Amino acid sequence: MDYTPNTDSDRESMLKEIGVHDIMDLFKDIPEDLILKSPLRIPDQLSEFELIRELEKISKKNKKLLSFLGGGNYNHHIPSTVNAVTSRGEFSTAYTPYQPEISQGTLQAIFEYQSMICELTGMDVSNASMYDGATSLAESMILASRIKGKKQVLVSQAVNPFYREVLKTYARANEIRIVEIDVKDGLTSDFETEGSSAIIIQSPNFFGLIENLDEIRKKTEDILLITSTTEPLSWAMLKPFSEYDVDIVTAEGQSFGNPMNFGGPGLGIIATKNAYVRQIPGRLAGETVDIHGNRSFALTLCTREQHIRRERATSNICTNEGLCMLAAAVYLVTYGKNLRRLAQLNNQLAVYFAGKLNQIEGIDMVFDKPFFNEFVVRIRKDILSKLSDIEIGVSLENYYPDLKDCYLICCTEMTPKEDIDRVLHEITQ
Amino acid sequence: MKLLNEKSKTGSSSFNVRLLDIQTNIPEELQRVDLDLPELSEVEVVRHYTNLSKSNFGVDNGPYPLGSCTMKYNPKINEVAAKIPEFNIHPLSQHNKGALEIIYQLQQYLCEITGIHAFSTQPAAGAHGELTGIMIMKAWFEKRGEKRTKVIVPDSSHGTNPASVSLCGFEPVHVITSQSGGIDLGDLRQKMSKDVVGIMITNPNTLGIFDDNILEITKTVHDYGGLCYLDGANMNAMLGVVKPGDFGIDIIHLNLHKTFSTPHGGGGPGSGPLGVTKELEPFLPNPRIIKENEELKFEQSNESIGKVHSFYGNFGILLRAYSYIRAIGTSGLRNVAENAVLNANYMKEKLKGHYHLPYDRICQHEFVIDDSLMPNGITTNDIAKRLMDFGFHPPTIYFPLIVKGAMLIEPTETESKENLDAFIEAMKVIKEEAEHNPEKLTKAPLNAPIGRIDIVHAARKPKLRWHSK
Repeated sequence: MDYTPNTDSDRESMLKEIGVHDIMDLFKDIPEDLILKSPLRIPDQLSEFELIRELEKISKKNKKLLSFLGGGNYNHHIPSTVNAVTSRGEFSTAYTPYQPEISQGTLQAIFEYQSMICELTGMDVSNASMYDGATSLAESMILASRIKGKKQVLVSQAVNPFYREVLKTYARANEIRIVEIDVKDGLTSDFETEGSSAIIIQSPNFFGLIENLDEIRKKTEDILLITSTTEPLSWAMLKPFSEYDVDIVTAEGQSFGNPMNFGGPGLGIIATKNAYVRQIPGRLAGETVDIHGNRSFALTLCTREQHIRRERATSNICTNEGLCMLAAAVYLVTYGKNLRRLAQLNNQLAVYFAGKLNQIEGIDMVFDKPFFNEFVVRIRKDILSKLSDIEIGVSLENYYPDLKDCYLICCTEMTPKEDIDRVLHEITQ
Repeated sequence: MKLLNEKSKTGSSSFNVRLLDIQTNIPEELQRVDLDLPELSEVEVVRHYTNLSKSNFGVDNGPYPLGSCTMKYNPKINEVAAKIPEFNIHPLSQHNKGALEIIYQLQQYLCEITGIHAFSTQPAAGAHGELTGIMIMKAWFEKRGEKRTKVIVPDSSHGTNPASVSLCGFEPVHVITSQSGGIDLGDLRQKMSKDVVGIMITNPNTLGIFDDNILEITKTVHDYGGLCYLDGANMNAMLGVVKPGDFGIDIIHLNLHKTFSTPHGGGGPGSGPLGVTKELEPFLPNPRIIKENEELKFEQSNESIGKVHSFYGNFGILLRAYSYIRAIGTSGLRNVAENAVLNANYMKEKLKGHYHLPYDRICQHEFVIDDSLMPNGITTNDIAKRLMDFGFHPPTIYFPLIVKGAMLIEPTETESKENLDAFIEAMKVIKEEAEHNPEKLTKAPLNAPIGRIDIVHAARKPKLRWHSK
């Protein structure tokens, strides 16, 4: 394939207009020794059908089994409306909407997305997206230490272990000290707030359990409370974070209309209180008017951003996850109020599966607490060997050595009751 | 256009979910009372977004010569590739050999294209790659027990460069641009010391000029033990022509959503793979994807800076870039650079005389003009808005900051001579209008979906979400 429309005669006449003889005359600023003398060692071009054949062949090396994997990435149905909208070239091939007069589509979609995230979280303001759940959490950590002026944060060990690794990476670069809080019976245990700027809690946490944010907030009046959520579908069922007076809400929004895609692209969600609007990283769309007085939208409060403020910006982020955000917006409005029913169904399937598993000799629920759509069980090794054609869950012992033989099991509408019954049958037969 | 919330009608959503007869385990006091998401019928959802899309402009609508952003055509085959069902697997699945093969092979291609030893595909965008690169610089000097604090950044650099530097606790130090448009060597030498971590170079730079002192620049920095970072945003001009590894680059990020044709998506998702030399390889983010005894696998390094993404980066974008590289192949890559540079030089020559060229010399894939020759107080912003009426997306404006009233124009290789000629013609008409009919410019756009927008108004009283009255 070749996507350059110039013909040989076009090239010739253009070179003449420029006043050079050879195309290589245009590269004369490059020191001559550096110009490549031989072609790159990359295979030569393919036709579309050859390429697709090759890609399909490679894709078959993956294997899709019945899977109960979650832990930060979720297999949800994507309504047909989502692809219909995101595959429109007017959206997908546009740049960041720096020229609002011809970007109203993107801008209004951002504004509406921001509104829906505010509704789900109860927060005052949401940005237009970050890279993923882990980096929106990491940037919130930096934001909190800037607001509070203290270079220490508390992080619950019930926060997704991958997120904690990303937090450590960002903390090291920013010379922030992370103090990890132990987990007790699956929930965040006691801590001291002194010397810290913020506490980071995930809810539902990595074990799928709903944290006691009321209690945590009572003990953290002097520091910022930051939450992380990897399964924001839970928000449709649970009390919004604003009711616990959370300061910064972050999440991975992949569940909202984006495929698993081997873990990316995701959708970094960040929402906060009005008090911190001038501190948050990333883009914000705001309502304004055009010269005729018509309502319109534009990126706003840009003096926080790197292209204006350079080294004094609130973050270095530029490109975010625009199209994933659009997918999330279409997803949310397609479900509308029915999103709550979808959340309930996910919860019901998990409750059903957990209950049935717990009755089986050799399988035990590890925590006895309310969970949303993920839960932890300990499975005896001989039972596990019966499940070779099923991905039963995320093995936890690599991240929590005392959770040996424990698995984090996730149910969604894509693991219907029939599939669950099939697994139960395979275990008990 | 009305907002979703304004169109919402209770009970109109038909996206039903059938519940099971199972009691929830979540106590009522933890549950929310209501969920006030807008409710629209499916047809109204689709119409809403279809109509919104009509007030948007993408590469699929017309030429998009947005400098430094490489808004080339995004081949549709990439989208087909990205939707192959077997690639949509969970990141913790054990049956992932196909996905690993794509990532590994892409890493190999990027190494060959750049002449750089090893790549990680974890960074999710260019600025994320920069941040990761600066973190690696920090880890490198920490390991050597050296306390260095400054990173040199040209005054023509992208804003993300100094922002990434300060996000890692370093101090950016600006070097000035010489009269010919490259880094001022004298200024660089003066600012070099053993306190300097390294330099962040963009080459070709944001004036579209390949710095002919590049070897001298990297040598100067290396002589002090510093590291040379290349912002690879402008890799499009170099594909198959020159390798950054050959001019002394130690760390580089690429923007797959620029050079490698993946769509910008109205602001992402992108992908910013990071490449480093052999010495710096152990510092790349964990996990690496490597090949050992013909077997693809994850590997953790003790010296790694750690993870920078929840999983392995934006796999969906990597897949599109892989598809692009395979589609056009080795000859196609070189063809991209040649035509991108040819198109930019052609446009520059034809605009010369009508618009001021602050750096009048051969350019690479982009070039800068400014508004200093415009009569009647017409500004770059006016020109940008008027270009919309002619069916073009405006160039990047007021950047680089070192040129007053800059317009950074990057036609890309996927525009035909006819489109370039039409753009040139529009620019000439605009120049005429500035002379005789300046109102057409100050009131532009005249044919866009809406009139010129009051950006100041938006910032004065920020309204960032819908509220019921």
